[in-house]
Amino acid sequence: MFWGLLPAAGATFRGSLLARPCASKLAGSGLRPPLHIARPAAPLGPVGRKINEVIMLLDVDAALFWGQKPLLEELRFSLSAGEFLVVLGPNGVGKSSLLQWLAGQKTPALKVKGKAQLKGKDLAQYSLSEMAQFRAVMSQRLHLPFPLKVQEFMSLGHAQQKTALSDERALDLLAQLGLKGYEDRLWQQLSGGERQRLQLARLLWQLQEAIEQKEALLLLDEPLAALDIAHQQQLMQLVAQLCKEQQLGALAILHDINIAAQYADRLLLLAPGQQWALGPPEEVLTQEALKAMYQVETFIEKHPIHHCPQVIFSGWLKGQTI
Amino acid sequence: MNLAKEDLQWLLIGGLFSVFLLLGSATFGAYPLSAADLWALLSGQTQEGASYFLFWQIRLPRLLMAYAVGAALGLSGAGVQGLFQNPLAEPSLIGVQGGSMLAAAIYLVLIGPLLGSYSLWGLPIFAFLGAILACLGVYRMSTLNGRTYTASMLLAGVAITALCGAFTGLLTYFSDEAQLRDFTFWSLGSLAGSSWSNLLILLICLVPALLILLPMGPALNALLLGETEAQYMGWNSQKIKWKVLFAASLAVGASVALSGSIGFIGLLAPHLIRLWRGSNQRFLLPASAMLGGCLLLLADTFARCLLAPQELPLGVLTTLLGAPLFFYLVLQARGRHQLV
Repeated sequence: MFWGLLPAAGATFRGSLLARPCASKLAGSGLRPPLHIARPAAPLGPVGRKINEVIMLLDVDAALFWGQKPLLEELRFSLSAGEFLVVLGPNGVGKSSLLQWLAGQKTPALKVKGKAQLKGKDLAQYSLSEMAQFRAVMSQRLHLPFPLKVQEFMSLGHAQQKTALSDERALDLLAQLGLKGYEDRLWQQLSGGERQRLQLARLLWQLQEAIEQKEALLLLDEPLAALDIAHQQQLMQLVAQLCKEQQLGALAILHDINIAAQYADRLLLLAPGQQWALGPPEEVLTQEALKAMYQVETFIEKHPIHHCPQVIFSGWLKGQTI
Repeated sequence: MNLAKEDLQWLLIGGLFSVFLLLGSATFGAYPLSAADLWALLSGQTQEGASYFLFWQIRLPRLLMAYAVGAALGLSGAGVQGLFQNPLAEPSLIGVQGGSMLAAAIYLVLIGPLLGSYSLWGLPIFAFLGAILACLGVYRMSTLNGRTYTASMLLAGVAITALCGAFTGLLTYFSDEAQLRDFTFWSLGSLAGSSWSNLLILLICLVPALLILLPMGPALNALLLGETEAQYMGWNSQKIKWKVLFAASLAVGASVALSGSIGFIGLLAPHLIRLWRGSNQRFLLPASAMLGGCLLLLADTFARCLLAPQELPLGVLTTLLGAPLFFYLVLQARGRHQLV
């Protein structure tokens, strides 16, 4: 049961906010699928395969179009259980469209050639309610027009969820996410950080059966947008920990390259029109990549404590203006 | 969200209170009945006389109509507010009542004379069609790529209400005196025309609406987080929308056809319930129906008794009482994050 394993996550809130060592240097990397390459040239092997008995949650080989216009070509990546993958790229490159497509949202203007497989089955073959049983989506921010208590928010679950939320389990989960004693507060009274943690608590409840089977997939759409630096660290640490301890597979869209480099197992770098690179942060985060993605000049340093690559802006490309 | 034990108890209390209120208001009126009279009538001891006729043929159907119309308005108000995720989305604000008024007017002035006779069913069917057309119109105008924009929805509702009002006015202008009287009756709202056959028509529309809406509590709960989130939780939000729109139009259309335009019940009942016990739609839907029924029953009793034997127009009364109360609630809730 994963309930017993979570307290460690709660403990980190009160403990040091210093990051764990750079993700790629962690033990257990034997589980990491050998999929890092500077630029993808060939398909990445058969889809839906298992590597070292790790469950392949997501396997994408597709090109996205916005209407007739190509948005992202040669998009090839996969995500296995227990892995934290962060998607980076400039505004408008198609990150959100990608996430919405993977989440099963129908966007009329978005056309897809190729396919994505979830747990070895084609994405298009899933119904919304089937998908909701093992895939949850964390939004940037929610807008709730009506008053809703924390415990009511928690108990929404997914469409097919029949098991009633027992008070004990809900309290447990809330306590583990640092929301002890918040049950009767209104969503409207929570701070941005509390709301994100509550969202995460609800998503874990939605996924609880899938987490027990080690095939839960969490998609996060710019989850840090509304958070300050401490809460950003908290949330990222929590997600990374869930990936390691619960074998959750997480795919997050972020804008902050440095925090992504600090916590992600692998980065998926998107430059306008194409996938630029896929791999561990210290391999793929290069000056060249950042030039291609953002049209900027950068220094790349090692963090003095956790040794993950950290990017510092140094100027615009020649001839490039704001 | 499940129904807590407490919620179930409150629903039971609400049901009992409804029955009590029905019996209580039966004693009031231009011709008062005592509790003993009422008992004699109900237990079958009184089988004839003026009070027998009055109670069984006039007062009881009217009380039941009042309760059913109020329940229809409260229920559809709760459903539509949940659907649009907006506490202002009352059927009358999004053009549903305007649409069904216009359709009723078209039936009375144009279709009726054309057919040479008025059928009992014509009016509710037309009012329903008007309601659902207005609802669809507003929905279409405010939805782009599967996302409903609330501001556009309210603006579209205002536009449709104005347009329907203008056409209704035009029809009034060309109608004869008898038709004009009918119109006035409609636009003010009244239950004076209640009868068992009208009640039957209302129930035939209201019961399916109840059967569709009441089980939708969990789906509407998911919609509290927004349409996208509901889809992420596995709900087919498009299907939910159609079901709610259909049921609300059915209930509002029938109630407008039989009692004219009665304002503020659909806005007030869900709002009061939400202030009292939160937003759990599984409780909100049945409770709003009950509260709507009780509120309209009370209002109608006032309308009958205040100037007896004269009657106040019911729709005017509900708006006179409802608007200031709503105003007060809005001011109260403004500082407490309970309204947006």
